[in-house]
Formats: sequence, structure tokens, C-alpha cells
Amino acid sequence: MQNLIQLTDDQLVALYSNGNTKAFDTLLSRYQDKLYSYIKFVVRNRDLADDIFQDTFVKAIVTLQKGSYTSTGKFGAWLTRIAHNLIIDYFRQDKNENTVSNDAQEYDLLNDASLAEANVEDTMINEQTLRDVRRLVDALPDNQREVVFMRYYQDLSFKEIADITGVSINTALGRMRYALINIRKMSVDNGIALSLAV
Amino acid sequence: MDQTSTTSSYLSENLIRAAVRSGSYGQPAQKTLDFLRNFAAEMCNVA
Repeated sequence: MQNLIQLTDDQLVALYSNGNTKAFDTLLSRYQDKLYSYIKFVVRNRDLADDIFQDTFVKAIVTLQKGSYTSTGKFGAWLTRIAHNLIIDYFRQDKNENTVSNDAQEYDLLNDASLAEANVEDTMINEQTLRDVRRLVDALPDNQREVVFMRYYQDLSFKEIADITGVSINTALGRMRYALINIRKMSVDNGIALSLAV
Repeated sequence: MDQTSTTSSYLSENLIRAAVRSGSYGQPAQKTLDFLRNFAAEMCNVA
């Protein structure tokens, strides 16, 4: 197992396809927390998250054993795409993502990398505020909450988010934009300060 | 949009990022992981 941990995803996939079950165990260990977090964040239900997590890996296992997986170096993104499609199957109804009108406010939130990437790890932040903000994020429509998680937790690019969710980059950007607008609106409505503690 | 509101918007995005990252989303159930390891092994045998 020690050596397997050092292998790339595609190397592990190749080994598992040739009958090495330890290679699969390594892949499962590598992605279980990240994938489960994504699913749980989106569906907000532990039992359903477990079901979708299991179905995701079952589909992956079958695909790998059929030799249908094409190695691209993006095994994690492939897993996330399977999970995303399964989530869509569960929540087929298309919720309205435009909780706030497009032209209600014109914030340009996505175009300043220096500030967007600022390191907040070292910043003292009020825990209560973090909990409040998580509640606001939790109240977003599913497709906006999903993009927020992929961008902020998984550090995916908008190109990767678009590929996984099967939409254009502009749609992914738009969902993020609406998410931020909605969060800001809800914070005002609920009297929650969106500021860093100093 | 004045400079004050611009700064506020960016701070908000950083705070949202921090909030999302500070959340605890749990782990898959052990029985689910056990099932998947067994299923993966069985599929190997079938193939």
C-alpha cells in the first residue's frame, strides 16, 4: 500500500483494471472524503449522500472494469461528474436559480484575483459569523450552492466546474455571480455582517 | 459603485470562502466503504 499511495490516479486505475484490488482501495481512500463532502454539501442529507456516494463509485467500478474509462489525468473530476449527474437524477426539478434579478445589483465580484485569492487563513474571523454565512450558503438554490462549493472548497476553475456540471463557462460564472448576490441580499435581509473581524 | 462597496464585496467573497472551508461535512459510512471495497473485488473476479 505504501508504494500505491505514491502512484498517480491513472496508474492506480490501470492496476485496478488488471485485477489489483489494493489499487482501488487506494483510489477510494484518496477521494472518499473530498467526494463525500461535495455530495453532502449539495444534497444536505446524510443518508442520501451515502447513497449517491455509493452509486457514484459503483458506476466508476463498473466503468473501470469494462475498460470504458479513458485516462485523462482527471480522475477526481470524472468522479465528481458522475456524482453530479446522480444528484441531478435525484433532484430533477429545475429550481429557479434567479432568486435575485440579474440587474438588481451590478457587483463585479469575480474579476480581481489578488483580492479573491487573499489568504484568509491567518485572519481572525468570528466563528459565529462563519456559521451565519454557512447558513446563507446553505439557503442558496442547489445549482448555485454546488458552484460555490466547487469553487471555494474544491478550488476548481470555472472551466472545470463547467465541464463537470455540463454547462457553459458563462453559465457557471453566472451561477456564482447570482450566488454571491443572493448571499449578500440574504445577509442584508437577516442583518448579518459580511465582514472580516479585525 | 464606489470604492467602499467594492472593498466590501471582495471581503464578502473571502468570508464566504472561509465559511465554506470551515464547515464539517462528515465522512461516508463505514458500511458503505466496506461494501465498495467488496464490490470492487468482486468485479475484479468477474472480469
